[in-house]
Amino acid sequence: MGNHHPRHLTVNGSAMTSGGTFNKVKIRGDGTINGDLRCDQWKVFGNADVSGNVEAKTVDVFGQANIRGNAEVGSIKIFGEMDIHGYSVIKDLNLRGVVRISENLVGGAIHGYGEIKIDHDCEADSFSVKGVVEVGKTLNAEHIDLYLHVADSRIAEIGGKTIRVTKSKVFNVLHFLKRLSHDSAKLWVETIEGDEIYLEHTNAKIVRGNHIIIGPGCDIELVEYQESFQQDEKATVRESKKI
Amino acid sequence: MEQELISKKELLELTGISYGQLYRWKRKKLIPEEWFIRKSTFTGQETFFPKEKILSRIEKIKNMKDDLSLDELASMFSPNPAAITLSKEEFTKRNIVSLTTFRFYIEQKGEQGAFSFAQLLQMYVLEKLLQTGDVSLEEGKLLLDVLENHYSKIQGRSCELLFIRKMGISIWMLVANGSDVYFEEGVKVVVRLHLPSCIEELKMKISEG
Repeated sequence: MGNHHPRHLTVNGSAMTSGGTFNKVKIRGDGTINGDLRCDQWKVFGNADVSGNVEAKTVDVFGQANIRGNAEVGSIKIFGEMDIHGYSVIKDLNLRGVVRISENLVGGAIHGYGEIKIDHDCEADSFSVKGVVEVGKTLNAEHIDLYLHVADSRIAEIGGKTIRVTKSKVFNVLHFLKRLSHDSAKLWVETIEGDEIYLEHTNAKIVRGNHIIIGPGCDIELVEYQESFQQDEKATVRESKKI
Repeated sequence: MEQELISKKELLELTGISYGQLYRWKRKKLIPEEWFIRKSTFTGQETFFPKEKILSRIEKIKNMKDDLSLDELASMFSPNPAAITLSKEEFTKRNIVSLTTFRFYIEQKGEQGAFSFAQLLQMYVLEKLLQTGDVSLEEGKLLLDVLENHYSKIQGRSCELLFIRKMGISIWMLVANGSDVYFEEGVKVVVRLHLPSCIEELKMKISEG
């Protein structure tokens, strides 16, 4: 890419256009792109809808973007809302709003605050999100940091090296998402497996790991640990076993 | 084909690796997704693995991870063909397949200066099957055709090579994604070969030199 495609695509107002390979793509207003979009830089101020796949180095969304195909993006910033219907590969995802992915997400660093919903698996090097997280299958990352906020998070399975789930202590960053009182935010999960685990306000069936600390507000059915296990007095653990 | 399974817990105990490592290797595609078999047990959902495959894979990863990066390891284990071609001299020198198989291949496909990975794989699979004695040279010809014509369509995915016989008629099949196949009575499954493991073996052989 780069200099080989000096062509730009700009939409001001409302337009329907076909996809292709571009250097910079800017959509101010309402843009519908039919087909695949390949570009270095894609900026959306307003609304964008791509019917095919998107391949881009950087994507900035101020507003709303919809990708009906797969997405392969170097770095993406979402100030607003984004839907990806296909398989997504994203090296750096900076979240400041809502993102929904109907397939797998394979990522490098996923961070920010807001709401992230992935229907299938989510794999990343690091995953650090404040707000609401939903993963339909497995969340697998080297380092996982969840700051529960606003509403309940639901993840079927969490696996990784270090896993930290805490309740967010900052109350005013998410006011545009605020629907429920922040007090109710909990994490619901089936199993958590990792080397170092720290949990707060988590409902889990099984937690397995090397060093496990169960903090306040947790309700865990079974803890299996190899080296150490600590439990807060405000936590419920039905059963714990040293393996 | 029933295979012995091992639970995740037993696996970690047996191999001494941690959850972090296991999840990292899965993420890096060192352990294929389809080896993670979910089953419900009385404690809820549990993950199981095909015992032999996972143990040998983890042993290999542990042995090689000091010399190779995780990405290099991943490309060695991936079902994608390696991007290599070997010249004829190199190939015969490395002794990847026997001279008989090699000559047979040349006879069928003509003299060539260099071989792509796909061609190497065809020879490797042929050699493997000829050695078991289950397959005749005549049937080997058909095998080469099947692999040549269809393998590119399912490469990168897990697939099995099947060879069945009934009443003296033999049929080769490539079945993608390890689906279950059932046959009518009287069909003898002569060969059932997991191609990704062949690719892995071949890659090892080539890299060992």
